[in-house]
Amino acid sequence: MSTAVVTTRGVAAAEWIKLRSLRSGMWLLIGIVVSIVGIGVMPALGVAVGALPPDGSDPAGAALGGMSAAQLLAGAVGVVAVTSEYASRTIAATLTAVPRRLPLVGAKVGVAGVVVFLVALGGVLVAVLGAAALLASAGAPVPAVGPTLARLVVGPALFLAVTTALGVGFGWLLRSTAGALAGLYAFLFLPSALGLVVPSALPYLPGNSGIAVLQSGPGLLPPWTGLGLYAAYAAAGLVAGASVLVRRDA
Amino acid sequence: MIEIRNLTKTYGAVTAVDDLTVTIRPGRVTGFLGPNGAGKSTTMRAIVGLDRPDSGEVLIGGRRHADDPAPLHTVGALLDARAFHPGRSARTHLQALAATNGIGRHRVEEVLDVVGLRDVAHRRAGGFSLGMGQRLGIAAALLGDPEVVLLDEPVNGLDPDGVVWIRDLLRRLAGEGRTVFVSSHLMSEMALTADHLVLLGRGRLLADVSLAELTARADGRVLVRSPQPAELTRLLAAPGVTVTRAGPEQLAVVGRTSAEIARAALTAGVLLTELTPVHASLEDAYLAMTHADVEFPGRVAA
Repeated sequence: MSTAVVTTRGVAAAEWIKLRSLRSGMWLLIGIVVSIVGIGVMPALGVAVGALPPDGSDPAGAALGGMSAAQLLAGAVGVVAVTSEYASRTIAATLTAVPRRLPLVGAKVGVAGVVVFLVALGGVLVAVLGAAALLASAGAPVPAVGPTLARLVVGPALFLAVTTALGVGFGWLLRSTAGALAGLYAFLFLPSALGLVVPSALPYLPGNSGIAVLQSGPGLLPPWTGLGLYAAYAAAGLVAGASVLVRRDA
Repeated sequence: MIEIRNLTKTYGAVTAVDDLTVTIRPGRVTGFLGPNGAGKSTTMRAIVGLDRPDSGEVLIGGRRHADDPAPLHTVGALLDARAFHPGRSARTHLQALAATNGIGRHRVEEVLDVVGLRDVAHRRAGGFSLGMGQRLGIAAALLGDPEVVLLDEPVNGLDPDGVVWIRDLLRRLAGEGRTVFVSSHLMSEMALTADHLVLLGRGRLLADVSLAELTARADGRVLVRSPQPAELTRLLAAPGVTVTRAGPEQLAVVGRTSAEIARAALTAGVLLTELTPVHASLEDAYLAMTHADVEFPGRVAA
Protein backbone atom coordinates (compact mmCIF):
# COMPACT_ATOMS: atom_id res chain seq x y z
CA MET A 1 0.00 0.00 0.00
CA SER A 2 2.90 2.33 0.72
CA THR A 3 4.04 2.07 -2.90
CA ALA A 4 0.65 3.20 -4.23
CA VAL A 5 1.08 6.62 -5.76
CA VAL A 6 -0.47 8.61 -8.57
CA THR A 7 1.27 7.90 -11.86
CA THR A 8 0.46 8.95 -15.41
CA ARG A 9 0.11 5.29 -16.29
CA GLY A 10 -2.30 4.67 -13.43
CA VAL A 11 -4.47 7.63 -14.35
CA ALA A 12 -4.52 6.49 -17.98
CA ALA A 13 -5.42 2.94 -16.89
CA ALA A 14 -8.32 4.36 -14.90
CA GLU A 15 -9.54 6.30 -17.94
CA TRP A 16 -9.43 3.14 -20.02
CA ILE A 17 -11.52 1.30 -17.42
CA LYS A 18 -14.01 4.19 -17.37
CA LEU A 19 -14.27 4.49 -21.15
CA ARG A 20 -14.86 0.81 -21.80
CA SER A 21 -17.50 0.70 -19.05
CA LEU A 22 -19.28 3.78 -20.40
CA ARG A 23 -22.21 2.64 -22.51
CA SER A 24 -22.63 5.95 -24.32
CA GLY A 25 -18.95 5.86 -25.25
CA MET A 26 -19.22 2.33 -26.61
CA TRP A 27 -22.29 3.18 -28.69
CA LEU A 28 -20.51 6.20 -30.12
CA LEU A 29 -17.51 4.06 -31.09
CA ILE A 30 -19.81 1.53 -32.77
CA GLY A 31 -21.52 4.46 -34.50
CA ILE A 32 -18.17 5.65 -35.84
CA VAL A 33 -17.42 2.27 -37.42
CA VAL A 34 -20.94 1.95 -38.83
CA SER A 35 -20.79 5.45 -40.31
CA ILE A 36 -17.37 5.02 -41.89
CA VAL A 37 -17.96 1.55 -43.29
CA GLY A 38 -21.68 1.77 -43.96
CA ILE A 39 -21.64 5.08 -45.79
CA GLY A 40 -18.16 4.50 -47.22
CA VAL A 41 -18.92 1.36 -49.23
CA MET A 42 -22.22 2.65 -50.62
CA PRO A 43 -20.85 4.25 -53.84
CA ALA A 44 -18.91 1.08 -54.69
CA LEU A 45 -21.93 -1.03 -53.79
CA GLY A 46 -23.97 1.16 -56.13
CA VAL A 47 -21.56 0.41 -58.95
CA ALA A 48 -21.49 -3.30 -58.06
CA VAL A 49 -25.25 -3.67 -58.27
CA GLY A 50 -25.36 -1.56 -61.42
CA ALA A 51 -27.23 1.35 -59.92
CA LEU A 52 -24.31 3.70 -60.62
CA PRO A 53 -22.18 3.97 -63.76
CA PRO A 54 -18.59 2.70 -63.32
CA ASP A 55 -17.21 6.08 -64.32
CA GLY A 56 -13.94 5.61 -62.47
CA SER A 57 -14.56 8.52 -60.13
CA ASP A 58 -12.34 8.53 -57.07
CA PRO A 59 -13.61 5.48 -55.11
CA ALA A 60 -11.20 6.05 -52.26
CA GLY A 61 -12.43 9.60 -51.75
CA ALA A 62 -15.97 8.34 -52.03
CA ALA A 63 -15.14 5.70 -49.43
CA LEU A 64 -14.67 8.55 -46.97
CA GLY A 65 -18.28 9.67 -47.36
CA GLY A 66 -19.04 8.67 -43.79
CA MET A 67 -16.49 11.00 -42.27
CA SER A 68 -18.91 13.87 -41.56
CA ALA A 69 -21.14 11.66 -39.47
CA ALA A 70 -18.09 10.03 -37.87
CA GLN A 71 -16.69 13.47 -37.01
CA LEU A 72 -19.79 14.36 -34.98
CA LEU A 73 -19.57 11.05 -33.14
CA ALA A 74 -15.82 11.26 -32.52
CA GLY A 75 -16.24 14.70 -30.99
CA ALA A 76 -18.99 13.32 -28.78
CA VAL A 77 -16.66 10.55 -27.51
CA GLY A 78 -14.30 13.22 -26.21
CA VAL A 79 -17.15 15.24 -24.74
CA VAL A 80 -18.77 12.37 -22.81
CA ALA A 81 -15.42 11.11 -21.54
CA VAL A 82 -15.38 14.33 -19.49
CA THR A 83 -19.02 15.31 -19.01
CA SER A 84 -20.11 11.85 -17.82
CA GLU A 85 -17.98 12.54 -14.72
CA TYR A 86 -19.87 15.73 -14.01
CA ALA A 87 -23.29 14.23 -14.82
CA SER A 88 -22.69 11.27 -12.48
CA ARG A 89 -20.85 13.48 -9.95
CA THR A 90 -17.91 11.06 -9.89
CA ILE A 91 -15.74 14.09 -10.60
CA ALA A 92 -15.42 14.74 -6.83
CA ALA A 93 -14.01 11.26 -6.20
CA THR A 94 -11.81 11.47 -9.28
CA LEU A 95 -10.30 14.82 -8.28
CA THR A 96 -9.83 13.67 -4.68
CA ALA A 97 -7.80 10.76 -6.05
CA VAL A 98 -5.92 12.95 -8.55
CA PRO A 99 -5.84 16.33 -6.81
CA ARG A 100 -3.24 17.77 -9.18
CA ARG A 101 -5.96 17.53 -11.83
CA LEU A 102 -3.78 18.13 -14.90
CA PRO A 103 -2.84 14.45 -15.37
CA LEU A 104 -6.56 13.83 -15.96
CA VAL A 105 -6.62 16.07 -19.01
CA GLY A 106 -3.74 14.17 -20.59
CA ALA A 107 -5.18 10.79 -19.65
CA LYS A 108 -8.62 11.53 -21.08
CA VAL A 109 -7.22 12.93 -24.33
CA GLY A 110 -4.72 10.11 -24.61
CA VAL A 111 -7.10 7.25 -23.97
CA ALA A 112 -10.14 8.59 -25.88
CA GLY A 113 -7.91 9.84 -28.72
CA VAL A 114 -6.03 6.56 -29.15
CA VAL A 115 -9.21 4.48 -28.97
CA VAL A 116 -10.95 6.64 -31.58
CA PHE A 117 -7.81 6.58 -33.76
CA LEU A 118 -7.64 2.78 -33.71
CA VAL A 119 -11.36 2.31 -34.25
CA ALA A 120 -11.34 4.81 -37.11
CA LEU A 121 -8.22 3.26 -38.64
CA GLY A 122 -9.93 -0.11 -38.73
CA GLY A 123 -13.13 1.41 -40.09
CA VAL A 124 -11.42 3.36 -42.86
CA LEU A 125 -9.33 0.33 -43.91
CA VAL A 126 -12.45 -1.79 -44.18
CA ALA A 127 -14.28 0.95 -46.09
CA VAL A 128 -11.48 1.61 -48.61
CA LEU A 129 -10.56 -2.04 -49.15
CA GLY A 130 -14.20 -3.07 -49.14
CA ALA A 131 -15.02 -0.48 -51.78
CA ALA A 132 -12.11 -1.69 -53.93
CA ALA A 133 -13.21 -5.32 -53.54
CA LEU A 134 -16.78 -4.48 -54.51
CA LEU A 135 -15.63 -2.61 -57.61
CA ALA A 136 -13.31 -5.45 -58.59
CA SER A 137 -16.03 -8.06 -58.13
CA ALA A 138 -18.27 -6.08 -60.46
CA GLY A 139 -15.52 -5.90 -63.02
CA ALA A 140 -15.38 -2.13 -62.69
CA PRO A 141 -12.03 -0.35 -62.87
CA VAL A 142 -10.34 -0.01 -59.49
CA PRO A 143 -8.29 3.20 -59.46
CA ALA A 144 -4.82 2.78 -58.04
CA VAL A 145 -4.55 4.29 -54.61
CA GLY A 146 -1.23 2.72 -53.63
CA PRO A 147 0.98 5.72 -52.86
CA THR A 148 -1.78 7.69 -51.17
CA LEU A 149 -3.17 4.77 -49.17
CA ALA A 150 -1.32 5.80 -46.01
CA ARG A 151 -2.78 9.29 -46.12
CA LEU A 152 -6.21 7.96 -47.07
CA VAL A 153 -6.30 5.69 -44.06
CA VAL A 154 -4.09 7.32 -41.41
CA GLY A 155 -5.20 10.87 -42.25
CA PRO A 156 -8.91 10.32 -41.58
CA ALA A 157 -8.16 8.34 -38.42
CA LEU A 158 -5.99 11.19 -37.14
CA PHE A 159 -8.66 13.67 -38.17
CA LEU A 160 -11.21 11.89 -35.98
CA ALA A 161 -8.77 11.53 -33.07
CA VAL A 162 -8.08 15.28 -33.20
CA THR A 163 -11.85 15.90 -33.18
CA THR A 164 -12.07 13.73 -30.06
CA ALA A 165 -9.35 15.85 -28.42
CA LEU A 166 -11.33 18.96 -29.29
CA GLY A 167 -14.37 17.34 -27.64
CA VAL A 168 -12.36 16.68 -24.47
CA GLY A 169 -11.40 20.35 -24.40
CA PHE A 170 -15.02 21.46 -24.72
CA GLY A 171 -16.02 18.93 -22.06
CA TRP A 172 -13.66 20.48 -19.51
CA LEU A 173 -14.72 23.97 -20.57
CA LEU A 174 -18.49 23.51 -20.30
CA ARG A 175 -18.99 20.38 -18.12
CA SER A 176 -22.53 19.60 -19.33
CA THR A 177 -22.97 17.10 -22.14
CA ALA A 178 -25.49 19.16 -24.07
CA GLY A 179 -23.55 22.37 -23.57
CA ALA A 180 -20.23 20.89 -24.61
CA LEU A 181 -21.71 19.22 -27.71
CA ALA A 182 -23.40 22.46 -28.73
CA GLY A 183 -20.18 24.38 -28.13
CA LEU A 184 -18.10 21.89 -30.12
CA TYR A 185 -20.43 21.79 -33.12
CA ALA A 186 -20.83 25.56 -33.12
CA PHE A 187 -17.05 25.92 -33.07
CA LEU A 188 -16.70 23.53 -35.99
CA PHE A 189 -19.49 24.79 -38.21
CA LEU A 190 -20.47 28.37 -37.40
CA PRO A 191 -17.19 30.06 -38.40
CA SER A 192 -17.45 28.45 -41.83
CA ALA A 193 -20.31 30.85 -42.55
CA LEU A 194 -17.73 33.60 -42.18
CA GLY A 195 -15.99 32.10 -45.20
CA LEU A 196 -18.84 33.35 -47.34
CA VAL A 197 -17.90 36.90 -46.41
CA VAL A 198 -14.13 36.48 -46.36
CA PRO A 199 -13.38 33.58 -48.74
CA SER A 200 -9.64 33.85 -48.17
CA ALA A 201 -10.14 32.89 -44.51
CA LEU A 202 -11.98 29.69 -45.40
CA PRO A 203 -9.04 27.24 -45.37
CA TYR A 204 -7.99 28.36 -41.90
CA LEU A 205 -11.35 28.02 -40.15
CA PRO A 206 -11.71 25.22 -37.59
CA GLY A 207 -14.26 23.22 -39.53
CA ASN A 208 -12.38 23.48 -42.81
CA SER A 209 -8.78 23.08 -41.71
CA GLY A 210 -8.88 19.37 -40.88
CA ILE A 211 -10.99 18.44 -43.89
CA ALA A 212 -7.91 19.09 -46.02
CA VAL A 213 -6.62 15.66 -45.04
CA LEU A 214 -9.80 14.00 -46.33
CA GLN A 215 -10.15 15.67 -49.70
CA SER A 216 -8.32 18.17 -51.81
CA GLY A 217 -9.78 21.12 -53.57
CA PRO A 218 -9.98 24.87 -53.74
CA GLY A 219 -10.35 26.56 -50.40
CA LEU A 220 -8.39 23.88 -48.58
CA LEU A 221 -4.83 23.83 -47.23
CA PRO A 222 -2.35 21.09 -48.16
CA PRO A 223 -3.45 17.86 -46.36
CA TRP A 224 -0.95 17.68 -43.50
CA THR A 225 -0.83 21.46 -43.03
CA GLY A 226 -4.60 21.47 -42.66
CA LEU A 227 -4.55 18.63 -40.18
CA GLY A 228 -1.75 20.35 -38.27
CA LEU A 229 -3.81 23.53 -37.98
CA TYR A 230 -6.82 21.49 -36.86
CA ALA A 231 -4.63 19.88 -34.19
CA ALA A 232 -3.50 23.36 -33.09
CA TYR A 233 -7.15 24.34 -32.58
CA ALA A 234 -7.63 21.19 -30.50
CA ALA A 235 -4.51 21.97 -28.45
CA ALA A 236 -5.82 25.49 -27.77
CA GLY A 237 -9.17 24.03 -26.68
CA LEU A 238 -7.40 21.63 -24.33
CA VAL A 239 -5.30 24.40 -22.80
CA ALA A 240 -8.45 26.46 -22.21
CA GLY A 241 -10.26 23.43 -20.74
CA ALA A 242 -7.32 22.53 -18.52
CA SER A 243 -7.05 26.05 -17.15
CA VAL A 244 -10.75 25.98 -16.25
CA LEU A 245 -10.29 22.60 -14.57
CA VAL A 246 -7.32 23.76 -12.53
CA ARG A 247 -8.78 27.11 -11.50
CA ARG A 248 -12.45 26.50 -10.87
CA ASP A 249 -14.10 24.69 -7.97
CA ALA A 250 -14.89 21.12 -8.86
CA MET B 1 -4.44 15.01 11.37
CA ILE B 2 -6.28 17.78 9.55
CA GLU B 3 -5.23 21.37 10.20
CA ILE B 4 -7.70 23.98 9.00
CA ARG B 5 -6.28 27.48 9.27
CA ASN B 6 -8.31 30.66 8.78
CA LEU B 7 -10.39 28.99 6.09
CA THR B 8 -12.79 31.35 4.34
CA LYS B 9 -14.89 30.37 1.36
CA THR B 10 -17.49 32.51 -0.34
CA TYR B 11 -19.86 31.73 -3.20
CA GLY B 12 -20.77 35.07 -4.69
CA ALA B 13 -22.25 37.12 -1.86
CA VAL B 14 -22.68 34.13 0.45
CA THR B 15 -19.95 33.36 2.97
CA ALA B 16 -20.14 29.60 3.41
CA VAL B 17 -17.15 29.28 5.73
CA ASP B 18 -15.92 32.24 7.71
CA ASP B 19 -12.36 32.26 9.09
CA LEU B 20 -12.50 28.70 10.41
CA THR B 21 -9.49 27.47 12.37
CA VAL B 22 -9.61 24.01 13.88
CA THR B 23 -7.45 20.90 14.10
CA ILE B 24 -8.90 17.41 13.75
CA ARG B 25 -6.77 14.90 15.62
CA PRO B 26 -6.12 11.22 14.94
CA GLY B 27 -7.24 8.29 17.05
CA ARG B 28 -10.76 9.49 17.69
CA VAL B 29 -14.02 10.10 15.91
CA THR B 30 -14.62 13.82 15.49
CA GLY B 31 -18.20 14.75 14.75
CA PHE B 32 -18.75 17.79 12.57
CA LEU B 33 -22.09 19.24 13.58
CA GLY B 34 -24.16 22.13 12.46
CA PRO B 35 -27.53 22.95 10.96
CA ASN B 36 -28.02 22.45 7.23
CA GLY B 37 -26.24 25.26 5.43
CA ALA B 38 -23.72 25.81 8.23
CA GLY B 39 -20.79 25.18 5.88
CA LYS B 40 -19.93 21.59 6.76
CA SER B 41 -19.88 20.25 3.21
CA THR B 42 -17.96 23.27 1.96
CA THR B 43 -15.34 22.70 4.64
CA MET B 44 -15.05 19.04 3.68
CA ARG B 45 -14.72 19.90 -0.01
CA ALA B 46 -12.02 22.43 0.85
CA ILE B 47 -10.11 19.81 2.87
CA VAL B 48 -9.60 17.64 -0.22
CA GLY B 49 -9.10 20.64 -2.49
CA LEU B 50 -12.32 20.36 -4.48
CA ASP B 51 -13.24 23.94 -3.63
CA ARG B 52 -10.56 26.58 -3.50
CA PRO B 53 -10.60 28.71 -0.37
CA ASP B 54 -10.77 32.52 -0.71
CA SER B 55 -8.19 32.61 2.05
CA GLY B 56 -6.62 30.28 4.55
CA GLU B 57 -5.42 26.75 3.98
CA VAL B 58 -5.94 23.15 4.92
CA LEU B 59 -3.11 20.73 5.64
CA ILE B 60 -3.53 16.98 5.90
CA GLY B 61 -0.68 15.26 7.62
CA GLY B 62 1.28 18.50 7.24
CA ARG B 63 0.79 19.11 3.54
CA ARG B 64 -1.74 20.35 1.05
CA HIS B 65 -3.77 17.59 -0.56
CA ALA B 66 -2.67 18.67 -4.04
CA ASP B 67 0.99 18.13 -3.07
CA ASP B 68 0.38 14.59 -1.89
CA PRO B 69 1.98 11.91 -4.09
CA ALA B 70 -0.38 9.25 -2.70
CA PRO B 71 -3.66 11.12 -2.16
CA LEU B 72 -5.88 8.10 -1.52
CA HIS B 73 -3.46 6.67 1.00
CA THR B 74 -3.70 9.92 2.94
CA VAL B 75 -7.41 10.72 2.64
CA GLY B 76 -10.47 8.68 1.86
CA ALA B 77 -13.60 10.75 1.42
CA LEU B 78 -17.29 10.11 1.01
CA LEU B 79 -18.75 13.46 0.04
CA ASP B 80 -21.73 12.42 -2.07
CA ALA B 81 -23.55 9.13 -1.69
CA ARG B 82 -24.68 8.92 -5.30
CA ALA B 83 -21.39 9.85 -6.91
CA PHE B 84 -21.02 6.86 -9.19
CA HIS B 85 -21.98 6.29 -12.80
CA PRO B 86 -25.30 4.42 -12.85
CA GLY B 87 -24.19 2.26 -15.78
CA ARG B 88 -21.03 0.99 -14.12
CA SER B 89 -20.78 -1.87 -11.69
CA ALA B 90 -19.57 -1.22 -8.17
CA ARG B 91 -16.44 -3.24 -8.94
CA THR B 92 -15.60 -1.28 -12.10
CA HIS B 93 -16.21 2.01 -10.30
CA LEU B 94 -13.74 1.02 -7.58
CA GLN B 95 -11.22 -0.43 -10.02
CA ALA B 96 -11.06 2.83 -11.95
CA LEU B 97 -10.58 4.85 -8.78
CA ALA B 98 -7.98 2.40 -7.48
CA ALA B 99 -6.02 2.48 -10.73
CA THR B 100 -5.38 6.23 -10.48
CA ASN B 101 -3.35 5.69 -7.34
CA GLY B 102 -1.78 2.41 -8.41
CA ILE B 103 -3.89 0.41 -5.97
CA GLY B 104 -4.29 -3.24 -6.96
CA ARG B 105 -7.47 -5.19 -7.72
CA HIS B 106 -6.94 -7.30 -4.62
CA ARG B 107 -7.64 -4.25 -2.48
CA VAL B 108 -10.85 -3.57 -4.44
CA GLU B 109 -12.15 -7.03 -3.46
CA GLU B 110 -11.11 -6.38 0.15
CA VAL B 111 -13.10 -3.16 0.48
CA LEU B 112 -16.08 -4.77 -1.28
CA ASP B 113 -15.98 -7.37 1.49
CA VAL B 114 -15.62 -4.74 4.22
CA VAL B 115 -18.79 -2.93 3.11
CA GLY B 116 -20.67 -6.12 2.27
CA LEU B 117 -21.19 -5.45 -1.45
CA ARG B 118 -19.21 -8.41 -2.83
CA ASP B 119 -22.33 -10.27 -3.95
CA VAL B 120 -23.72 -7.34 -5.94
CA ALA B 121 -20.38 -5.93 -7.12
CA HIS B 122 -21.00 -6.99 -10.72
CA ARG B 123 -24.40 -5.27 -10.94
CA ARG B 124 -24.99 -1.86 -12.44
CA ALA B 125 -24.76 0.58 -9.55
CA GLY B 126 -27.70 2.58 -10.92
CA GLY B 127 -30.00 -0.02 -9.37
CA PHE B 128 -28.50 0.39 -5.89
CA SER B 129 -30.58 1.62 -2.96
CA LEU B 130 -29.42 4.75 -1.15
CA GLY B 131 -27.94 2.55 1.56
CA MET B 132 -25.98 0.45 -0.95
CA GLY B 133 -24.78 3.67 -2.57
CA GLN B 134 -23.51 4.84 0.81
CA ARG B 135 -21.67 1.55 1.25
CA LEU B 136 -20.10 1.90 -2.18
CA GLY B 137 -19.02 5.43 -1.28
CA ILE B 138 -17.48 4.13 1.94
CA ALA B 139 -15.71 1.37 0.04
CA ALA B 140 -14.23 4.04 -2.23
CA ALA B 141 -13.13 6.04 0.81
CA LEU B 142 -11.34 3.01 2.26
CA LEU B 143 -9.55 1.99 -0.98
CA GLY B 144 -6.22 3.58 -0.15
CA ASP B 145 -6.15 2.38 3.49
CA PRO B 146 -6.23 6.08 4.38
CA GLU B 147 -4.83 7.86 7.44
CA VAL B 148 -7.71 10.33 7.32
CA VAL B 149 -11.33 9.36 6.67
CA LEU B 150 -13.83 12.09 5.76
CA LEU B 151 -17.50 11.20 5.62
CA ASP B 152 -20.24 13.70 4.84
CA GLU B 153 -23.57 12.60 6.37
CA PRO B 154 -22.75 8.87 6.08
CA VAL B 155 -25.82 7.57 7.91
CA ASN B 156 -28.28 9.23 5.54
CA GLY B 157 -30.39 6.56 3.92
CA LEU B 158 -28.99 3.68 5.95
CA ASP B 159 -31.35 1.25 7.63
CA PRO B 160 -30.92 0.64 11.40
CA ASP B 161 -28.49 -2.25 10.73
CA GLY B 162 -26.48 0.02 8.49
CA VAL B 163 -26.39 2.77 11.09
CA VAL B 164 -25.01 0.38 13.70
CA TRP B 165 -22.56 -1.01 11.17
CA ILE B 166 -21.18 2.40 10.29
CA ARG B 167 -20.94 3.38 13.95
CA ASP B 168 -18.80 0.30 14.61
CA LEU B 169 -16.73 0.93 11.48
CA LEU B 170 -15.97 4.52 12.50
CA ARG B 171 -14.98 3.46 16.00
CA ARG B 172 -12.74 0.74 14.61
CA LEU B 173 -11.05 3.13 12.16
CA ALA B 174 -10.40 5.62 14.96
CA GLY B 175 -9.17 2.77 17.16
CA GLU B 176 -6.58 1.97 14.50
CA GLY B 177 -5.20 5.46 14.99
CA ARG B 178 -6.78 7.11 11.96
CA THR B 179 -8.29 10.55 11.87
CA VAL B 180 -12.04 10.16 11.45
CA PHE B 181 -14.06 13.28 10.62
CA VAL B 182 -17.79 12.76 10.18
CA SER B 183 -20.40 15.40 9.51
CA SER B 184 -24.00 15.21 10.58
CA HIS B 185 -26.86 17.50 11.41
CA LEU B 186 -28.08 14.97 13.97
CA MET B 187 -26.71 15.49 17.45
CA SER B 188 -28.35 12.25 18.58
CA GLU B 189 -26.30 10.25 16.08
CA MET B 190 -23.04 11.99 16.96
CA ALA B 191 -23.71 11.49 20.67
CA LEU B 192 -23.45 7.75 20.03
CA THR B 193 -20.47 7.81 17.67
CA ALA B 194 -18.17 10.75 18.30
CA ASP B 195 -15.54 11.33 20.98
CA HIS B 196 -15.05 14.92 20.02
CA LEU B 197 -17.26 17.54 18.41
CA VAL B 198 -16.67 20.49 16.14
CA LEU B 199 -19.76 22.70 15.98
CA LEU B 200 -20.27 25.00 13.05
CA GLY B 201 -22.94 27.69 12.68
CA ARG B 202 -23.23 29.98 9.69
CA GLY B 203 -19.69 29.15 8.66
CA ARG B 204 -18.16 29.98 12.02
CA LEU B 205 -16.69 27.77 14.68
CA LEU B 206 -19.07 27.56 17.64
CA ALA B 207 -17.26 24.96 19.66
CA ASP B 208 -14.38 22.50 19.53
CA VAL B 209 -15.05 20.30 22.52
CA SER B 210 -15.10 16.73 23.72
CA LEU B 211 -18.47 15.11 24.09
CA ALA B 212 -18.08 15.15 27.87
CA GLU B 213 -17.17 18.85 27.93
CA LEU B 214 -20.18 19.76 25.84
CA THR B 215 -22.51 17.93 28.18
CA ALA B 216 -20.92 19.64 31.16
CA ARG B 217 -20.96 23.02 29.49
CA ALA B 218 -24.64 22.77 28.82
CA ASP B 219 -26.35 24.64 31.65
CA GLY B 220 -29.68 23.12 32.52
CA ARG B 221 -32.85 24.83 31.48
CA VAL B 222 -35.32 25.98 34.05
CA LEU B 223 -39.01 26.06 33.15
CA VAL B 224 -40.79 28.88 34.94
CA ARG B 225 -44.53 29.55 35.03
CA SER B 226 -45.82 32.94 36.08
CA PRO B 227 -48.84 35.17 35.38
CA GLN B 228 -46.34 38.00 34.76
CA PRO B 229 -44.03 36.50 32.10
CA ALA B 230 -43.07 39.84 30.53
CA GLU B 231 -42.02 41.32 33.84
CA LEU B 232 -40.09 38.19 34.76
CA THR B 233 -38.31 38.25 31.41
CA ARG B 234 -37.16 41.83 32.07
CA LEU B 235 -36.09 40.85 35.55
CA LEU B 236 -33.89 37.98 34.41
CA ALA B 237 -32.30 39.73 31.44
CA ALA B 238 -28.54 39.73 31.75
CA PRO B 239 -25.52 38.83 29.62
CA GLY B 240 -25.27 35.04 29.35
CA VAL B 241 -28.93 34.50 30.15
CA THR B 242 -31.40 33.39 27.51
CA VAL B 243 -35.11 33.62 28.23
CA THR B 244 -37.54 32.19 25.69
CA ARG B 245 -41.33 32.02 25.84
CA ALA B 246 -42.34 28.33 26.15
CA GLY B 247 -46.08 28.92 26.57
CA PRO B 248 -48.60 31.68 27.36
CA GLU B 249 -47.40 31.90 30.95
CA GLN B 250 -44.30 29.78 30.65
CA LEU B 251 -40.65 30.72 30.15
CA ALA B 252 -37.55 28.61 29.51
CA VAL B 253 -34.52 30.11 31.18
CA VAL B 254 -30.94 29.18 30.38
CA GLY B 255 -28.07 30.61 32.40
CA ARG B 256 -29.80 31.01 35.81
CA THR B 257 -30.37 28.36 38.46
CA SER B 258 -33.80 27.74 39.98
CA ALA B 259 -32.61 29.34 43.23
CA GLU B 260 -31.46 32.51 41.47
CA ILE B 261 -34.76 32.80 39.62
CA ALA B 262 -36.81 32.27 42.82
CA ARG B 263 -34.78 34.86 44.69
CA ALA B 264 -35.10 37.45 41.90
CA ALA B 265 -38.86 36.86 41.69
CA LEU B 266 -39.35 37.16 45.45
CA THR B 267 -37.39 40.41 45.62
CA ALA B 268 -39.44 41.96 42.82
CA GLY B 269 -42.73 40.56 44.10
CA VAL B 270 -43.43 38.47 40.99
CA LEU B 271 -45.57 35.38 41.52
CA LEU B 272 -44.14 32.04 40.36
CA THR B 273 -46.60 29.18 39.89
CA GLU B 274 -44.05 26.64 38.68
CA LEU B 275 -40.27 26.30 38.83
CA THR B 276 -38.87 23.15 37.17
CA PRO B 277 -35.18 22.52 36.51
CA VAL B 278 -34.82 20.41 33.34
CA HIS B 279 -31.78 18.19 32.92
CA ALA B 280 -30.00 19.19 29.72
CA SER B 281 -29.55 16.56 27.06
CA LEU B 282 -26.82 16.81 24.50
CA GLU B 283 -29.48 17.75 21.98
CA ASP B 284 -30.44 20.69 24.19
CA ALA B 285 -26.84 21.76 24.48
CA TYR B 286 -26.46 21.65 20.73
CA LEU B 287 -29.67 23.59 20.11
CA ALA B 288 -28.75 26.14 22.73
CA MET B 289 -25.40 26.75 21.05
CA THR B 290 -26.72 27.01 17.52
CA HIS B 291 -29.61 29.11 18.81
CA ALA B 292 -27.19 31.40 20.64
CA ASP B 293 -25.24 31.76 17.42
CA VAL B 294 -28.30 33.14 15.72
CA GLU B 295 -29.10 35.62 18.50
CA PHE B 296 -25.64 36.64 19.68
CA PRO B 297 -23.14 35.81 16.94
CA GLY B 298 -19.73 34.94 18.29
CA ARG B 299 -20.62 35.04 21.97
CA VAL B 300 -20.20 31.31 22.53
CA ALA B 301 -17.33 30.84 20.13
CA ALA B 302 -14.55 28.83 21.69
